[in-house]
Amino acid sequence: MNRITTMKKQVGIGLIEVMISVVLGLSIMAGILQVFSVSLTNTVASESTSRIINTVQYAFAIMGNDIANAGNLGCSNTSDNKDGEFITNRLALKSSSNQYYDFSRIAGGIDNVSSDPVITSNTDTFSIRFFNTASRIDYLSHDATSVTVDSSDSDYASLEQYQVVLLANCTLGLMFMITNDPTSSSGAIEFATSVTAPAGSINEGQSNTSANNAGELSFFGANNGSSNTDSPTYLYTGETGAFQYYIGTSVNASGTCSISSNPQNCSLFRINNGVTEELVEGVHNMQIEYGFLDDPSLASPKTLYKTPANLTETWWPDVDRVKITLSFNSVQRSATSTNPITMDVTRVFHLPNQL
Amino acid sequence: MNMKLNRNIYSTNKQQGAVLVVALVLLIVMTIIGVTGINSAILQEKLAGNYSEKAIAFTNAEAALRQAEAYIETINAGAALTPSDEAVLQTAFSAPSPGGDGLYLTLNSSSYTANGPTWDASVGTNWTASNSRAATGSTGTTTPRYFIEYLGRKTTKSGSPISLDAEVANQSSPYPFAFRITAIGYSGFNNIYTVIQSVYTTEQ
Repeated sequence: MNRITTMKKQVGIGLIEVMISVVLGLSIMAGILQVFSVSLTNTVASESTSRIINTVQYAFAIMGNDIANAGNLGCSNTSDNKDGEFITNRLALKSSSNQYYDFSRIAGGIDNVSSDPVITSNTDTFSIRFFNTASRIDYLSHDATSVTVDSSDSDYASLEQYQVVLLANCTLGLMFMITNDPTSSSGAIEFATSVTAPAGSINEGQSNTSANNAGELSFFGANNGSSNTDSPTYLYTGETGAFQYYIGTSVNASGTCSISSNPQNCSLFRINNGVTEELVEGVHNMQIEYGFLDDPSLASPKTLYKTPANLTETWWPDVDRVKITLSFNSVQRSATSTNPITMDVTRVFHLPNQL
Repeated sequence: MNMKLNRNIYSTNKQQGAVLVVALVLLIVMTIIGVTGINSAILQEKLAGNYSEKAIAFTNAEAALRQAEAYIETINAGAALTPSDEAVLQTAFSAPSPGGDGLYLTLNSSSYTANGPTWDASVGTNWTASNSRAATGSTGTTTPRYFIEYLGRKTTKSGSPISLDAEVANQSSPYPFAFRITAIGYSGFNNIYTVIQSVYTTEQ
């Protein structure tokens, strides 16, 4: 009796049942995994896209701001100054391609860099310069080696040695680098030609040319109502400078930047008065084209865009817009490939100081 | 009675399952996920809000700048300034009136009555109706304002007229007037604002 009871009580799962449950379990798992992998792909894609969109906004906002100011020379701009009529540039131009303070053109750069230790091959560089005239200091007097400005001006404290400044009224401007330390000179600003900005300072390697300033300086009279009634003279000291954009290897990257094989290692850099700053990761190519109207006097002039290499010297004065194509990537790898997602964005900026 | 009571106690002790605990844990996990999501959404919204307010402030400032430029064009009783209109500017930019508010001199010439008012950097943080001009058509809470400084005239080194642009007619002997315009525009909040500046030069 006891035995029979025990036999009847035996419980368990039959082979068929096990197989059915395995099949059901596996098919459910397969479905879940599929959903999971799709959602993972989507997450990576949307994160990548939103990262790219942020990079696009940031990069073009910074560039757009600089471009809006490009060519501003206070009372004049590069359009007025095509023949150097207003501005006398005493800043030595560097013999390398980085001729930061070459104000004979509103912009510049190298087309498809071929071999450079820093700049990524086959990308363009883009340089612009301007004098921001938001802060200005009253000019008082000059002698052969220095000019004296109003040291009680609220902007005076921001002056730095090796800073590039513009001494100008509405007729003439003289741009040079400050060679003494203005914080202890009580208003005297020197423009010696024998001084070169040392390593580690702003505008490293920059110097003033040896040309004689006497002719220009004699033109600046004290703002006293008699000798200089046309326009007063100021030392303009705002966020002034030369800016160069280029593509290079990010400091955080594990390898070297390359457009085709390793775009995730690339960054957009800006050289601001000789100081290099990394703006944003995930930009691996920059292509620049300059635009102009071929003949504004025609009823329907054509807008032409030329790469820096194809833009001949005679077109430069007419250039009034710049087309910038940046290639962006998401830095992290995409779900379906070892490469990041990429996106090319082109924007045209007009150069208000060339109109 | 005793039997029944005992049975009840016994049955309570035997209660099994973890529904409450599991539900609470799930609830906590979901709350954490939800709060994190809301936080990041709020941050994104703040970023977007700032961006949009900044854009509004900038467009308001730019509108004020355009109005200032248009105002300069009407200073000469609606007509364009010509090289012989120095006297018009002397009237407009001299102290105390007319003109007055928001019109400043940078040059210290005796031709201008009492040397005219100059813009002092110390009033730069406080834009009022007595030191700047109001622009119209703003979308911000505070009216965008601007002030104009007369910088003088552009000449060559010898003081003779200059040639600005050979392609424009009537440019044979230009002697243009230069003005520096500074404009401020606000967004919906007064602590988000943009100050922009331009130099405006007349054609001749």
